[in-house]
Amino acid sequence: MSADLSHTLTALLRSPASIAASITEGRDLRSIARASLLALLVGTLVFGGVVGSHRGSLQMLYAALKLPWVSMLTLALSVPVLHGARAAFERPEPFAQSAALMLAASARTALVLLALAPALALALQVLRGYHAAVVLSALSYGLAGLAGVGLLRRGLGPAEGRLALLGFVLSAHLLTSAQVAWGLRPWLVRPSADVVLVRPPEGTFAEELARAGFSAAGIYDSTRSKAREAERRAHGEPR
Amino acid sequence: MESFEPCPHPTPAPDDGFSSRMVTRRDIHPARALLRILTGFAFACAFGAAAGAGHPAPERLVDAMGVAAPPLAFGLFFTPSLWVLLTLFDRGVGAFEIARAAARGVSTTGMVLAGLVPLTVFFELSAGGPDGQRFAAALELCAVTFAGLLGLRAFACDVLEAAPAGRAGASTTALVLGTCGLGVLLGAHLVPGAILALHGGFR
Repeated sequence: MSADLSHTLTALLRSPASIAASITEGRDLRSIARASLLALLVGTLVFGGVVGSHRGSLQMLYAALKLPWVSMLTLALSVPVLHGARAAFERPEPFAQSAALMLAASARTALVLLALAPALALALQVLRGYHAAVVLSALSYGLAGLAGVGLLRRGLGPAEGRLALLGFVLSAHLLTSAQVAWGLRPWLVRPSADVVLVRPPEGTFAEELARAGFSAAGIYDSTRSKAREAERRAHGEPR
Repeated sequence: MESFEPCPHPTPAPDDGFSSRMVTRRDIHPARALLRILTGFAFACAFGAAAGAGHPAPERLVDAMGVAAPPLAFGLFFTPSLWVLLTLFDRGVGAFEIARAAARGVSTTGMVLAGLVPLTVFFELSAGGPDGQRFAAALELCAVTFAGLLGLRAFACDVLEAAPAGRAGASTTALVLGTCGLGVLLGAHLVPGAILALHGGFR
């Protein structure tokens, strides 16, 4: 059991092609799923705790408990997308294999997150700024995500036409995980904000991205309101 | 080399599960082609209903069908006209072959949309405020566009593959692509209005 687990975890990291081949052939699905689930839970739990360590105290526990939920919920919403898109791209597989592939790719991502966690924890302690913490956490997640993409790409079948399928599935996965994470925020917690388990629902991550983009360019909410007001006046619209 | 092929070749050993019966198998009985069209339509209706999950109301069911109407209308009205034109120019593509191609097109669109139903419900229920609803609607429009284009691709490829080698010329391709263009126009005419109505006009 433990030897089997260790063997699968090693294969997940060292030879994603063999894991992808096993899934395509429907071999060892149970052991791959078991090892992947364990890796996913441990990796995201530890990484979540590290992200929460920027604020410390209760936020470490909250973030550690929430990040596995983000992964699991994203997985649950992305597997049907992969299954439907595979059929449309003429490479259908049973649902169990689509689920195993997505789970294994997420597990590989989680294992890399686990590897990056100590370095991120140190960086968050050295660089105390909130924005630096946001950038470093996002970079770590992006880097780990690349490892998962590699496995997913190999599992999608022949190279011909694979790029479009991968692009579609990845877009859906990224949008879903961003919205799920946005729904379960806060993660790092600004110094001025209180620590809570989950904030009330509000907008989408896309609005926050736009707001952050404007803020980074030095355009703040009040400036944008004035610009909108000037535009309305120019068009002769009522306030 | 990873590239986007206009007409993909099916996998050498296709899975014989539900998705294979719905989409990939070519040699199907006409009755199964009809079943494919109805199932594809039902899946597209489910996507429409999911797009209206943020503003549930009984009258929105009609708008949900509006999202699903273009693939069905294409299969029922545009493909017979393509058959008439192809036969008129003696292109050697039979009615059953066109019906099978249409069924595969509708079911391809339906399968993609069915996979997006849980995700759409999630976005509809988690995106708060008018801006969030606009974002969700934009994503749904992208999803329907992508699914529709994949369905049209499956239809066009099947019709062109069915044309005999000597008679599959530029005019056949032009007729098939012209019909697909009309399908795009139909979708562009119906879907944005239906999605707007499903979101209560963003009020």
